[in-house]
Amino acid sequence: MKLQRIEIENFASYYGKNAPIHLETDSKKPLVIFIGGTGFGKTSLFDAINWSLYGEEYENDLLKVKERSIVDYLNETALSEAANDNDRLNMSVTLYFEHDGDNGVREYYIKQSLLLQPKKDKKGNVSVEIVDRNHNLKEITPQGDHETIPYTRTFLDEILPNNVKSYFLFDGDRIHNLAKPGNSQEVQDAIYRVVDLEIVRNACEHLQETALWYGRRAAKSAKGELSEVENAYSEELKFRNDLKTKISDIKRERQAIKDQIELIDAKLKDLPETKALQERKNQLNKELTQNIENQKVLKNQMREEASKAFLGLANAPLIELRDLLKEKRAKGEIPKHIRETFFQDLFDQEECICGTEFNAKEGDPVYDTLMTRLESEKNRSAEEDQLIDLYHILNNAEVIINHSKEELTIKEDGIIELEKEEKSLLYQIQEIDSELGELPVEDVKVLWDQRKERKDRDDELIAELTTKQDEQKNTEKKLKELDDERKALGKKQQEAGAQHLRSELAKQSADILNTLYDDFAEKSRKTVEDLTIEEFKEFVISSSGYQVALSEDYSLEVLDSNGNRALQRLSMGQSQCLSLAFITAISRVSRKNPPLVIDMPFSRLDHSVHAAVSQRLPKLAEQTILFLIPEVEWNKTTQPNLSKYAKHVYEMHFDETMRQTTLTEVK
Amino acid sequence: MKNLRVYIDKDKHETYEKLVKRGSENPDHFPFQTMKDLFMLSACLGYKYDAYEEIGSSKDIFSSDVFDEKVDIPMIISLAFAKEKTLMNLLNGRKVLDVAQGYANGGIGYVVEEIINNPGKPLNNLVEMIID
Repeated sequence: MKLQRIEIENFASYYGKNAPIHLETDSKKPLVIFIGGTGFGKTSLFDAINWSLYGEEYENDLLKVKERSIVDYLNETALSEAANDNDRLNMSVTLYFEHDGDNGVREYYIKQSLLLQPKKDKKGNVSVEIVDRNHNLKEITPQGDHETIPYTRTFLDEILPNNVKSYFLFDGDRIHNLAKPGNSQEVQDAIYRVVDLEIVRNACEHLQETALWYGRRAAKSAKGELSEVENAYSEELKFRNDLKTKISDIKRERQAIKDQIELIDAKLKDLPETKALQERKNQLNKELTQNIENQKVLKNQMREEASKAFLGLANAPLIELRDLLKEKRAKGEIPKHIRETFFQDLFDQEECICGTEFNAKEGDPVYDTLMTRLESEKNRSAEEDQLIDLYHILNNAEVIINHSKEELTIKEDGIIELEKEEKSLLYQIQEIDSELGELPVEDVKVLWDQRKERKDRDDELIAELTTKQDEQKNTEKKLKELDDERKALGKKQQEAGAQHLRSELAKQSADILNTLYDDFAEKSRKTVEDLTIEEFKEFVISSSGYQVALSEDYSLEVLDSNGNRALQRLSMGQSQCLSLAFITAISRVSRKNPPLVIDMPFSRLDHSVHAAVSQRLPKLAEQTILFLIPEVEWNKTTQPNLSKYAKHVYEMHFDETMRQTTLTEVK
Repeated sequence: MKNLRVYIDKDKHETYEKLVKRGSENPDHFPFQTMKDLFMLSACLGYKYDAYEEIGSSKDIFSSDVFDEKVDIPMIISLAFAKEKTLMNLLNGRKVLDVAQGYANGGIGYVVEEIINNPGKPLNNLVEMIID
């Protein structure tokens, strides 16, 4: 979608029918810039774009987020005039845009309008009520006709779905918040929504429902014992699905609690009374993480050693066999090829061991007898050689097994030491926690109590999660048993058997889709992470010392060159750049190619990053609309970088007396 | 002893699946990285407790190529010697493997009993059993 122009009538500070505001851009000049002070109508224009697209859905958002009804946006002057004349009046916004759909690029416009009736009470207070509302969506055909298109979610979902709009139409505060601790849920939602993971999730749920439905039908058409098994299977399947939902809910709640704890920790860290203790605690936590990692490495090494050392449990036959071979070797019973040499000596001397002389040629009876004997021994000599080898291998095996046992003992001592250290670290952390909890400062106490409350809830959830996961394992096992049973019984009842097959297919498809869902989610996370890293480097020149990550639990994370968490240490500007980098990554991953509308992108940025961000902003999307505050955001640094890429630059003027906004385009 | 299939009793397969986990996660609860490791310990315990038990319905789980030539193969041959008390057939891979399979089949129950069912983490129980 690319915005073309917007027409506003009696909306907020825009009085009467305003001239169209041109928003179109091109590839060389992708920016439209509005410059206006606080209260000049920048955010109203932002709201107008949103309202025109999403109508009543956006009105609900306004009520929830800003506690404002749409009629509160009616222009004050227009209302007062209409009230005096006892006339009805219109409030409307029309947005013209292009969309590259299945039929190529087409031009559309969408109009939201309200017909309003002012009412005066006895005290002279004016209120207003909605008499009529209209929303029109029209396509302007290549022939110039305006064809009405039904205003449906389907069309909006194609151009810019409501649930992802907030990642393309957003304000400065939002940019500031994304990289703050405690926002992993929002970051995760953003990724899931822009890559349409919700569609896959819905498909999974639909298939699970289908499996249940066929299961119930199979139960209905089954008779006798099969009927009972079918009912049991259906109930177990429903129980399993509910368990899955419950487990997923618990995980979400845990993530939310983790976010809240992070937020509280960030606040606690900033309080001067707790700073020293928090720093000590962070250090101990770091040591604890390292300790646990070391234990894991050592335990894996122990597992490796154990796989050899446990052979010592059966070393008696190994020693017995080795000793037997040793004895046979000492006696000269193996290897036989010594005897072969011996035969050769007899042939050379032409005298048998018994003293009988013979002629070492074929035909001599003694020679022939000795040769026959030698041939039979030759066949066995290869085996004898292998037995000699086995003797050496057995000797060596015993050495290796004993060595592994010694290594295992050493490593076990190492683990005991690490476990002692772990206990000590945990004890020290607990001590700090209780010290923090006892601090007399009220703020600290309140925050600490909140933290403790959440930690306790998290512990409860961990226990609940373990129970539910165990239940899930059991129910999967039971399902399999019931499935085997119903299959066996179902073979005898054709109708029920056919329903099984459908139910099983739906269940298998849901399971496969579930796995795909997890894989896809993880791949999307990784892609967004890679792009965020790339974008962050573009935004912050000094970012080379930092490594950005989007963790597996969807927290935006920054590590310094020592691998320590550095998000808290980022300046506000750097932190905002991280959010912008993430938003840009999301926009690139979405492939929906929507415009970016950003309200006050520089408002909280350090001046030091203005240059880098203003150089980057024109390259973020094919069309970017910026609302900027003069001097603060539109200044000597940003203006040269932005103006050369701007198709339109508007200055906003606000008449305090009339409370009206007017625009002039800067050429 | 190359390219031979190693078999276990079908009924025991679930136990193998439950106790073996590849990778480095959670070694405390999965003391065996491979089926081969669990097979070898089962065979050793089968010998230790004189629990030789022929396989009923067989299921092949891995190839003999994964046995360590320096320790596993000599142990398997030693177990065959312990059972047969003769040097005959010790170099016949299939025959010695069949004996090891019998011991492993009888020994897997002891693995479950001593390592899994005993209180404590399975890896600790295994190490204690080896070192004691």
